[in-house]
Amino acid sequence: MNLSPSFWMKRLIIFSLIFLCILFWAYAGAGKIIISNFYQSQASYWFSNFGNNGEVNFKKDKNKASDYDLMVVMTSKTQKKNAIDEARALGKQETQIAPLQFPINSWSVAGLFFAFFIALLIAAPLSIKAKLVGFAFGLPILYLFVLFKLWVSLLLKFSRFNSKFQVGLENVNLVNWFDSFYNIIKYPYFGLMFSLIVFLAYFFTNQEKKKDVFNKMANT
Amino acid sequence: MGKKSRNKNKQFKNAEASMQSSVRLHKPSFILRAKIAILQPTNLILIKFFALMIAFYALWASKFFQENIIKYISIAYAKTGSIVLNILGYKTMTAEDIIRNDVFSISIKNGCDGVEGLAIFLCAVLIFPTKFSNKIKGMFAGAIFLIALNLFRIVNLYIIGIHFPSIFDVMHESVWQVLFIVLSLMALLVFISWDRKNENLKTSIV
Repeated sequence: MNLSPSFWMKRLIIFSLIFLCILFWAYAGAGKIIISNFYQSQASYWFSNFGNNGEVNFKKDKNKASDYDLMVVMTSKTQKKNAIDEARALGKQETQIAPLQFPINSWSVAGLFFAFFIALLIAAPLSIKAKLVGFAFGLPILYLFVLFKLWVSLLLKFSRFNSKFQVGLENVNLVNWFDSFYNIIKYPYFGLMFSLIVFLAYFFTNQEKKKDVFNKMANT
Repeated sequence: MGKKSRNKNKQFKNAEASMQSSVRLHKPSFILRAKIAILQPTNLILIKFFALMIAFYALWASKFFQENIIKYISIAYAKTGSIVLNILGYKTMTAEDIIRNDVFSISIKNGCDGVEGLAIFLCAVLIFPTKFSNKIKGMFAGAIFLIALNLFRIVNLYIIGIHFPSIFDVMHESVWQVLFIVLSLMALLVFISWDRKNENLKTSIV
């Protein structure tokens, strides 16, 4: 394996082609819909019951002009109970609750990181077996990262309206700390960098390649 | 000499044999193996890199950094980008971090300022085991390259926004972000390659 700049340029071209194919599949094919459905099902599975009495519903965003594909609707059992009690006290038969809603673009909060990691791994100078192991190593980590990011986002939103939902954190300092932390991880750039770090960690931990890379690098 | 030293030799040999057998008997524990794996030079480099990136993000997330540094970096990009766009005939103007003309406007926010990509590169060069002077040269050249690349990205996205608005989102959220990270990585590889060549050349001259 040659590690001269021309070798890496060739790898960059391979990476670009693979990534463009994935983008084409996502934007022109069914990719975004598949990712949206997968994200919705996984998010619903893990977070439809949040904390003690939080309820989260992940719906499709019907506004086609919008950049977002999912709408997250947050309520809580306490909120519903309080609304019913209040309505009963006023002698009303019906009442309405105001859930907290925010939209999500599942491609930029999840799909893009997977696409980037897959393209990196396919383009990397590794054997097919090492690439398969890399997928088995990296994809679950990215999956956990995406879920963790969503968990932080939901926890923060519940905590900000703790008096209304009775869900999430009550400690203001802790909420502020989570807010700062979320400000770091919320941008797609962080997710891409995380994917890159997972890839590099795997690439360098691959003993055989590690020795090879650095020995060849030293001889370049 | 005689009896005493022979006894000592025997004792020494026995001790050595028992040590060897104990080495053979006791396989290194999982924790020890994990420690050895973590302390591999390349892994140590990665750990240092993580630590520096965590330090960077802790600084980056602070209100002071956002209000006194990031804000002005965005404004500087907007102003420079606008100058380039005016040279290209787009008649743009700026207001804080916004570039606009009669047709289109963009705002340079977090993630569009290229600071994170620059941080990845600078942290990686900083922990790379080489001479300090080489690191300084690498950091300087890499920073210029990445700043120029980000400026090109801003100008490119503005032009795409005017002429091909339907692909603006793809280019903005998917293509350029990924390209910027990958090109930061490529810049790092070029630096490593240059550094090794430079060192080999000096060794051969000496």
